[in-house]
Amino acid sequence: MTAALFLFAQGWILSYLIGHRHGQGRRGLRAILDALAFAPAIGLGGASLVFVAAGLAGITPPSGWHLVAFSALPGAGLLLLSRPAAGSALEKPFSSPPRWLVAALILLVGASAWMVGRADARNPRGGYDAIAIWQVSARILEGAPTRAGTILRAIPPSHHGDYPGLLPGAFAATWHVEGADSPSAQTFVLALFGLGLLAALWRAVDRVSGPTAACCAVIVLASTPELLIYLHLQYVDPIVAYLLLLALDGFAQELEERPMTSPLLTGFAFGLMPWAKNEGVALAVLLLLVFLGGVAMRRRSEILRRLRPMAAGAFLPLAVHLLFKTLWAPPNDMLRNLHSTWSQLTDASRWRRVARGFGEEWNPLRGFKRWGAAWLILPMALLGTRRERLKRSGTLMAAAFVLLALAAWFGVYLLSYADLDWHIPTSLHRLLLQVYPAALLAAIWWGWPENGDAGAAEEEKEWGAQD
Amino acid sequence: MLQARLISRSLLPTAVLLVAVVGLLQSWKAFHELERGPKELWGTERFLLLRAAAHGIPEFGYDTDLPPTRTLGHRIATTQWAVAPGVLVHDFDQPSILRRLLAGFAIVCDYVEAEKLDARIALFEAWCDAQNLPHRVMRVAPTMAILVTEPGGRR
Repeated sequence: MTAALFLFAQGWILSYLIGHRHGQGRRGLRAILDALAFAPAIGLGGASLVFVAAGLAGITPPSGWHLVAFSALPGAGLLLLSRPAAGSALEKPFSSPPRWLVAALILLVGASAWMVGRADARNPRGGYDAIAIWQVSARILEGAPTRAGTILRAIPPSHHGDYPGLLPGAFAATWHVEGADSPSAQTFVLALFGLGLLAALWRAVDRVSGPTAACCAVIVLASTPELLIYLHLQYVDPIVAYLLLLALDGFAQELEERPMTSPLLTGFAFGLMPWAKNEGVALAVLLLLVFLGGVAMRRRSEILRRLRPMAAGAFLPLAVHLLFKTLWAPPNDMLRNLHSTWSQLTDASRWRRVARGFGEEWNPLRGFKRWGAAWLILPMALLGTRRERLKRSGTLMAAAFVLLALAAWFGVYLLSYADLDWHIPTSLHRLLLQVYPAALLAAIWWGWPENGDAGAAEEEKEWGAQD
Repeated sequence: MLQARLISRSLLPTAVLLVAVVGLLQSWKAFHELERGPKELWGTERFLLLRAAAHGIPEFGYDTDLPPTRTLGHRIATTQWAVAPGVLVHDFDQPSILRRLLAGFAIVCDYVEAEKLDARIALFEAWCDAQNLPHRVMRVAPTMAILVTEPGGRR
C-alpha cells in the first residue's frame, strides 16, 4: 500500500513540475488537477515500464525503495525534455460550481469509494482475470524478472501470457518495493488509477464546458456500477478507459488548435494505452486515424508538426511494449486463430447474434444493472445540442471516435474464434467500459453549453428570447 | 422554453444527480450480488493453485538462483500456502485434491522425478477422462508439467 502511494505521489509531483514548465499557463487548482490526472500514468505506469524494461535488458530490478527512485526515470526524462511554453493559453478564470453540487459530488464519490473499499476489504484478491492473468504475470515478473519471457511462453494460452504488462508490472513493482505480495498494494493501485480517471474526466470537461459540467460528469462516472465493480475486481479495463480519456482530450485540443496542455504527458498516456491491454493497441490506432482524418478534413497539415512533443512522450512506453511483444510475449490467441475470416464476416447469423449482444447492453432495463441510468445522458445531450457546437472539431472527433470504437468492437466479435454465447456475455461489457468515459465526455461536449457557466447563462438567455 | 430549462444550470445538474443516485443504488445491488456469487470461482484454493504455477516454474523449471527467502519451499513452509501445499507436490494423487481441481479452472505445477511425474500425469488424465473434463498437459521440463482442467463455460 505504502509503495503504491509513494509511486503515485512521485508521479503527481513530476506531472506538476512538467505541467508547470510546459503547461500553457495552467496554474493554481487547474494545475494541481492536471497533475492528479497524470499522476497514476507517470507514477505507477512509469514504475511498471522500469520494472519490465530492466527485466528485458537482463537486469534484476533494484530492491526495496531504490526501485521507487528508479521508477521516477520516465517522468524525470519527460521533465528534462519539457521546454517552457512559448505562449500562455487564455484560461477562463476558475469559477466554482454551485456549493450544493460540490457537496453532492463529495457525498456521492465518498459513497462510491466506501462501497469499493468495503468490497476490497472482503475480497482483496480481485476477480477472475486479476487472479488468473494479472497476478500470475505479476508473480512471474517479480519472481524471475530477467527470465519472465521463458515462463510467460510456458503458461497455458488461456492465461494470456501475451497480455502487456502495465498492471502486472505495477503490481510486481509495488510488491518488490514492499518485499512481499500485498493484496492491499493491488487494491490501492486500482483505486489510484480510478482517482486519476475521475481527475482526467474533470479536466477534459472543465476545459470546454466549465466546472459545473465537470462536476456533473464526475458524479455520473463515479456512480456507474460497471466502473466500481471492475475497479474492485482489479481488471485493467478502467485503466484503458483512463488512458484513452487523457489521449482523446489531447488530440481534441490539437485539432481545435488550442495550445495543448502538457503534450509530453499526453503522449506518455497515449503510449501507455497499448501497454495496458491488447485492446489498447486497437484504440490507440483508431484514435490516431480519426485524428488524422480530422486533420485532413481541416486541411491544416501544420497541426502534425506540433505533435513532436507528444511523439517524444509516447516513445518510451511504445518501445518497451514493442520489445515485450517481440522478445517475451507468446503469440496472441485471437490472431493465431484467424482462419475463416471471410466466412465469419459473411455469416448473417453472427451479425444478428452480435447485434443482439450489443442491444442487451443498451436495453435500458437489462443494461440497467451494469450502467445505472447513465444511458439517460445521451438524450439529455441531444436535447442540449446547438448547431454552433456541432462545428467544434474536437467534439466531432470524439463522437466519431466513439462510434468507430463501437464498430471495431462489433467487428472483434464477428471475427472471434470463441463461442459467441460465451465470448459476448463475458467480455462485451468490459470493452464498452473502456470506451464509456470517452462517450460520456463526447456527450457532454456535445450537449453542454461551451464556455462553462457563463456560456450556460448566455444560452439560457438566448433560448428565453427565442421563446 | 423546456429546452432552455433543461440546459439551465440548476435543472441539468439535478437530473444528473438523480442519474447518479440510481447508479449508486444499482452499484450497491451489484456489489451485494457479487458477494453472494459462487465462492469457488474466486476462492482461495484457486488462487493458491495459480500462485503455484507462477512461482513453481521459475524455481524448479528454470530459475535456480532466486534468493532463498523467495523460494517456493520457503513460502510453503512459512506462509498461507500451507493451506494447500499438497496440491503442488505431495498429495497430488489423493482424490480430495483432484476433486478440488474439478471446482473450476485450475493449474497444477508438479516437480518430481520423471517416472513419478509420468504416473501422476496418467492419473490426472484418467481422472479427467472419467469426469469427461476437458484438460491439457504441458511438459515444460523433464521433471515438471502443467496440468490444466478447463470446465466449459465456468469463466
